[in-house]
Amino acid sequence: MNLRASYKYQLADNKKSMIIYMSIIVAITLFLYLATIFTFSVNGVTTQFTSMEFASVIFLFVTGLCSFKDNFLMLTQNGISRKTMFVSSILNFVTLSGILTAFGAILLLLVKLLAKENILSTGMYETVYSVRAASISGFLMNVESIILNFCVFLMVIGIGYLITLIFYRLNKAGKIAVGVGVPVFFTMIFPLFDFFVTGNRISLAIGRFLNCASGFSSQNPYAGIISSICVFAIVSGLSWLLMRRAVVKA
Amino acid sequence: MNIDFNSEKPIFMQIAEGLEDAILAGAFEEEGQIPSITEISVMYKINPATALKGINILVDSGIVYKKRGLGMFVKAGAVKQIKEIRKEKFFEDYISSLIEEAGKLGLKENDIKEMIERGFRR
Amino acid sequence: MSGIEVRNVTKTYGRTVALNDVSIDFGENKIYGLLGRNGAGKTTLLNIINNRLFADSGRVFADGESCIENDKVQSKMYLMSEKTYYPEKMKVKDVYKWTKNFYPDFDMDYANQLAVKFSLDTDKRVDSLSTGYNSIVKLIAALCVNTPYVFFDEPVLGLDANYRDLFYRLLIEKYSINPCTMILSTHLIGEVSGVVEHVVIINKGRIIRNESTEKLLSNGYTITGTAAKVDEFVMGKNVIGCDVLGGLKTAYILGEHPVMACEGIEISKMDLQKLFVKLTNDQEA
Repeated sequence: MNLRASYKYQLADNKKSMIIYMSIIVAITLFLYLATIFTFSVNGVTTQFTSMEFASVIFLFVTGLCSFKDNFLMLTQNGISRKTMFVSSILNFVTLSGILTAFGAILLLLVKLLAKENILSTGMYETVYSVRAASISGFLMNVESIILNFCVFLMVIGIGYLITLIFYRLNKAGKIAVGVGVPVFFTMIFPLFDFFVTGNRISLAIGRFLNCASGFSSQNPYAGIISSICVFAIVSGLSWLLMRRAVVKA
Repeated sequence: MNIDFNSEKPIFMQIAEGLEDAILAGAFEEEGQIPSITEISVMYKINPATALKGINILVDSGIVYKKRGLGMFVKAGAVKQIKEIRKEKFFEDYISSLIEEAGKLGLKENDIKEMIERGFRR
Repeated sequence: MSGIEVRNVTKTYGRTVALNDVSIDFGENKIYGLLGRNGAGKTTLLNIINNRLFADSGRVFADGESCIENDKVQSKMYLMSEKTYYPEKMKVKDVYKWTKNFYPDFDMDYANQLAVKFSLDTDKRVDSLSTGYNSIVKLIAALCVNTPYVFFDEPVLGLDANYRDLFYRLLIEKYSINPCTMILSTHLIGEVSGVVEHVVIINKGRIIRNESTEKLLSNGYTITGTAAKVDEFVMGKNVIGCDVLGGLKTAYILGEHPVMACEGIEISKMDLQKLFVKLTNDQEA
């Protein structure tokens, strides 16, 4: 069945980079762990380290950015329709996000078991929902944290994919316009416009919206989870619209 | 056997005649096997359908026959049969055109007879 | 299997009409030659049939189902393109491994045998191959994929004479043992004229000839003689081209071979390449 063949290929394509990434994380974690043991035995100092979730976010974003062109050409050469390609890409994203979520959770668990009170770890969840983290059981926090990580990973890889699709579909002039125009707009035009013309009202409104969507002030991680899924759904929908008429260029 | 792509003669005819020549010359013995369609078409870089057409001419004139599962074989008595067919064609191919060409050059019947005798003496 | 049916396909790029209301059928178990000049529309047509591009209008069916965005139908066909779509860093042996993943009938043993015949090192990466070897990698895949329809777009690009010869022999052998529908799109008309059973000539986005090689060639001949005699002979006939060398004139005529020879005029066959050139030349004789 062609969905299976397509999924298998895309997964294999990511295998190497995933293994390298995960090995690096393990190596760094091991190093920190050993360093902690050493310093503790010498100075009685505890170590706090931020978990590698943020690294995974960046890794997955970049993976999303690399997930279209080469795959599209290879899969089209082998008779796969864009429909099937899209579905298998989504499945791929879910798989990769799942793997890295599980990987992060297991690594954390191992470190905690081995080092107990000597190592403190803060991830995305604890950073954003610190109040809630302190008030609920460790087990519930872990569960919510895992779900949150998975959804954020998914969102981020989807965004990378959409960006690379936009650039594939654009012609040369479009690429320059977007590549220069978008950063300039957000870093210069928009802030200036907002400051001088609308008295910062737009920025405030955006800030309030983000606050609400992420559940930051309400300390509600489920808002963040749902928002991430929504963003993923939206970027995926847009990706499909761009992909369905994509044409093979060398 | 050689295929001339520029000749007026269709390729399948050339195949048929080439195989006949080979049978006459004894390259393929009676009751012996002749090359398969695949071998012939690969050898001369022609479409297998063309090779098949050529072989079918020989099948139709009873010179070769198919043994199920084994291939194409030369029929017994094929040599004699080919010679008979060729003798009649000899007149058409050589004699008729000889007389025609002779006419163009202004050669008479006696001139031709003299030339034929000269040819046999050589 | 009912064949591939192209119906009223039109494709325009900006102001250029690449395909203009093209309709054609490719039936079962035949070797087709798709002939056309540079820019005639051959590659566009093949790309549309194989779901690489979308036509502006018109439809394409294979065995009764639409070809567009249809995995089931696309798994029955394979296109060997001029361009290479494999990842640059992929090794040749992995190219075949993955082709088998998508086309289960891919014959890996045969692919390895062919690699040896072409002196292809399957450990090499795609981006380290010359133009010729690029073609070789792709044509081996096409010869081993075992789908009912196989399209070859300029299969011998960059190949030396020996390998071109080998390719045609392998193609014929494969076709003879496992008949399928093969469509060869090429500029090298002389080389394929013995191989293809049916010729499709496409010129400026339109199909101008679509018939068996035999019929096409039987419907054309050349005559050579003095200019006066030739001019007299060709009156009322469909002349598609003329060559003049001093007092000697050669005319290329469409029509049945004349049965009787004429005085002072030599009648001969017109080969496929000559017929093609005369039919697709821009200038009139």
